[in-house]
Amino acid sequence: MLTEKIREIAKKLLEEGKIEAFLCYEGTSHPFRNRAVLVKSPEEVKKLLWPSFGVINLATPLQKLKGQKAGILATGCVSRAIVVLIQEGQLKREDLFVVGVPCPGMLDPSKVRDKAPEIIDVIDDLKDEVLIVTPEDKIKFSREELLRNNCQECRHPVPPLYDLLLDFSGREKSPDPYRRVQEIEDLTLEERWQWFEREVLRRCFRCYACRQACPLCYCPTCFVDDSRPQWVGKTRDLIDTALYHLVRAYHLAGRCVDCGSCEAACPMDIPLRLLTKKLEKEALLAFSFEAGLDPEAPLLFTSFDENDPEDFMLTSELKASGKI
Amino acid sequence: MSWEPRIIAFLCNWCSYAGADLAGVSRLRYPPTIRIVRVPCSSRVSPAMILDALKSGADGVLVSGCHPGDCHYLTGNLFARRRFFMLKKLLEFVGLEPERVQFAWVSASEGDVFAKVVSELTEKIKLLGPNTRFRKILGGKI
Repeated sequence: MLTEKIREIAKKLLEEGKIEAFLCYEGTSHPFRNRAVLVKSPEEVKKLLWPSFGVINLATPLQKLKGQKAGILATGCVSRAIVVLIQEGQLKREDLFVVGVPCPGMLDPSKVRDKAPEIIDVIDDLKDEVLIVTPEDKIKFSREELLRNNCQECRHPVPPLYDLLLDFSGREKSPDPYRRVQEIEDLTLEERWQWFEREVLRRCFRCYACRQACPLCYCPTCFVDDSRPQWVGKTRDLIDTALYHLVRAYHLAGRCVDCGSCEAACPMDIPLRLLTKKLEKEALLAFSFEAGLDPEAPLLFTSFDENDPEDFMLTSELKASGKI
Repeated sequence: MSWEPRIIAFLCNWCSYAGADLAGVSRLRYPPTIRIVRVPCSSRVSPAMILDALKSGADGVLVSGCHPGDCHYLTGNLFARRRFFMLKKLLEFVGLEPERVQFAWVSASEGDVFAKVVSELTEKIKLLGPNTRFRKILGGKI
């Protein structure tokens, strides 16, 4: 259904010459991998499909098409990433034709892969059920269970920016988007450090796949590659890894659209999203700010309010206790 | 000899640096634990600079700028306030002791406030002890 709709739209747009190329996903020889594909002629559209495992945000490859009039399949998070890229002057709105889909959520390859020793196909009804086909059997799973973490916690399944919205009923807004962040916040300081060290620092070997997959990490020279000053050392010392992860997350503060590409790209399954999700939560609570909803709105760090919170500052603390 | 913390202070050229100067000229007493880096504005300080100071062995970091409304560049400190808020939340989330990284507003006429800020910060960090988590330890020695 969705696949047919996507092919039809892409074909029509290419035939009418409204776009030069259409960016979407295609299947692979692997039962639970989809990859991005760019089609340039109406004959090629039969490749395209709705990806149940489209884990890498299409806005990342989209930036390589600068200057071409391109169509793109956009779920909520892809569309929001495009909005941030437009806000930051990286993309031009008039170069794009955004085909929006109210997103049903995508499945997590790392959750599917452990369900059976051999999987030959995964059949996804995009509503409630997923069938995992093994050589002997078909096993039924609830879709909710196999969804990616960020899809379970998605706040905006419907794209905020599109030229055409496909008729489809996607997921509802998550009622409890910050559950996993809350679990970490509830730990003591010591436990949080142990969690960070165990889950992030000891596992990361700094392949920078998270940075490459991120639609918003587009700096030509990343701070980790700077050599004068060298912010991040080239050793496997934990502090170097910590510095990378903290500054990476901080650079996404008020920009991250929680598409989960970083986590999907990570070969070590590090819960990278929790760091950016924490910042997303703080931005929402303290500044009522959400990234990627309006291309005309200012960014979090390019704006301020006179009444921004100040109680975290030492001088406010001293003033409150009457010491100054 | 008892352990004395080392604190890196990023002070803005227009207010806090002058405030520190006034504390000195007024002969106010405060602990000799801080090493001052003069920056053009508190918003010049990026998180990488703060983390780099900790990595290089600082036990605490202080960033201080003009009071809101007094910024030499009109709004620099207001941008900085948002950024530091987010940075502080992130550092606490991953288990850095919140006392180690501190932010303050000190104007050029507040020498006494500057002295007080340094004394209080030194006390807080003395209670915590040396920074071991965010420090690069070469050869396993501090």
